[in-house]
Amino acid sequence: MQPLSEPICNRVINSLDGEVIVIDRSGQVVFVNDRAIETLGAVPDKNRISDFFEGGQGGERLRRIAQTSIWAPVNFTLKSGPMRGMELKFRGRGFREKGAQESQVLLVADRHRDQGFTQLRKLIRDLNRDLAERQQTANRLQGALVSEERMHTELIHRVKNNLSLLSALISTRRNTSQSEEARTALQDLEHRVQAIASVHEILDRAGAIEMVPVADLIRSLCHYLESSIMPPNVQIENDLAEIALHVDDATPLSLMVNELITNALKHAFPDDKPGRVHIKLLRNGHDKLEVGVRDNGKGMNAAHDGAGSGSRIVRALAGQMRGELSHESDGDGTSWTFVFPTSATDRGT
Amino acid sequence: MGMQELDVPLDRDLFFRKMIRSFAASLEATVGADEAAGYVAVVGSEIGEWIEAEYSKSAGRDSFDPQQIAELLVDLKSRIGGAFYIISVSDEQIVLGNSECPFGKLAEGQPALCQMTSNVFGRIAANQLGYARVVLQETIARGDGQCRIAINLKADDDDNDSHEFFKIDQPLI
Repeated sequence: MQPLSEPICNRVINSLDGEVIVIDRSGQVVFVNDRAIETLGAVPDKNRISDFFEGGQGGERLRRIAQTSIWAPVNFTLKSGPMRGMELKFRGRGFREKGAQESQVLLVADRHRDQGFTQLRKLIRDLNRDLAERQQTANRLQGALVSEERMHTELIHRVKNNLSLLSALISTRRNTSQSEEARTALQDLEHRVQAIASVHEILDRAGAIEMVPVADLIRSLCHYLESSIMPPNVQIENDLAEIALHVDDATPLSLMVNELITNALKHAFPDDKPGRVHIKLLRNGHDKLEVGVRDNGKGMNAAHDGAGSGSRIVRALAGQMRGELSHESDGDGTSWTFVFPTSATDRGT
Repeated sequence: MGMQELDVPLDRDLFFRKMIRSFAASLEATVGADEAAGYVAVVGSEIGEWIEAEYSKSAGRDSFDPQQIAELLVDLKSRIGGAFYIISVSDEQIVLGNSECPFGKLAEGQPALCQMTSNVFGRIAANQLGYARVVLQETIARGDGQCRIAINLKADDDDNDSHEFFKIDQPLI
């Protein structure tokens, strides 16, 4: 390839969009292209570079880049021309003409220099903004969650109070009823309401909204029945694993256990015959729980086996919980076993 | 076992080497290899002048001949963990070899770190002897297993894959 002639080189350099400046090692300007003349605002005939650019950091950097042939960045603040006071970005290097001993300095404007840094800064800024927005969203969601939990807790508290009120109303009506049949029906109803209220009472006491410790629930039921209908000749025993159950399962389970214990207390021990009712709760395999209610009473009458309203409710609840209910009864007592799947349990709470 | 008893390969030296390697790699990834070389050149120039001033002050003299410059460069590398040695010295050229990089294994695959050595050597040699052209003939960073660095002291027109260094004492602005 033929080297370009000097006139063509000059035309090429003068047609460049960026400033090109050559200075010697003393700081004397030896060449500027047309664009540099526009920027510097004067024809730099026998001028020094210091006539056009401020010194300071740019001055020391200029000495350093003049010392090597490696392109290096340097910024200058203009002292003259229409853009006076502005900072211009250059790349510069020392160079030596072939055969020459003395080096010179070549400065070429590069307004797009450091774009990598600019892009990196923008990327970091965008990431920070994105992070802040996500954090704000997370805070909003967290706030909404806290608010919802607070409302849910408040709702549980109100439901508990309403159920207690309902239970008290039923109790009052029962006490004033003249009919034995009505009193019995109202008492059963009161116990069922209380069984549901116990679930909400335990949740309310723990400040929880979903998971109910089943052992506490059954103990609470037993305590209530002991203070209401349990005859003095009967004792209630329990053997309960510490398992928490979702309120959706705990509520029907509470009703079921209430019915089974109530049935035993009412029918298993006639004529003040002493006896025991034993309740157990344990895990059955990985995803099932087992509840047992056993008494050592007289056993169920085959003619009325499962015919009472309590038994119907128990079977309906078992079906609702998709569990398996079975019982055995003979002269040594009656034993109910209910095995049901749980979608949400928490061991050891 | 306490944290202090764990055998963790971490000390101040390794920490700073890792940091510089990371800086160099990040700079190169951000602005590209050529532009990163420019920044390294500026840093190398400053470091070179500082080291030269320290040797001058300690030796009580301002000028060194090529043999002394070669010894100075070997010594400075020895002080920072290199294993440089003199292959040859003349008024025209200094050739140095090296079997151990101060950056250790961290240098492998990071030729930008060699630019620091090139700039420090070139700066000191040019300041003392007026001119230097440094050629990294072999480098551990490129996988050569050793370094071979030629420092040409006379200006010639052979500019293949090399960097020139000039002596400029006075500010230009």
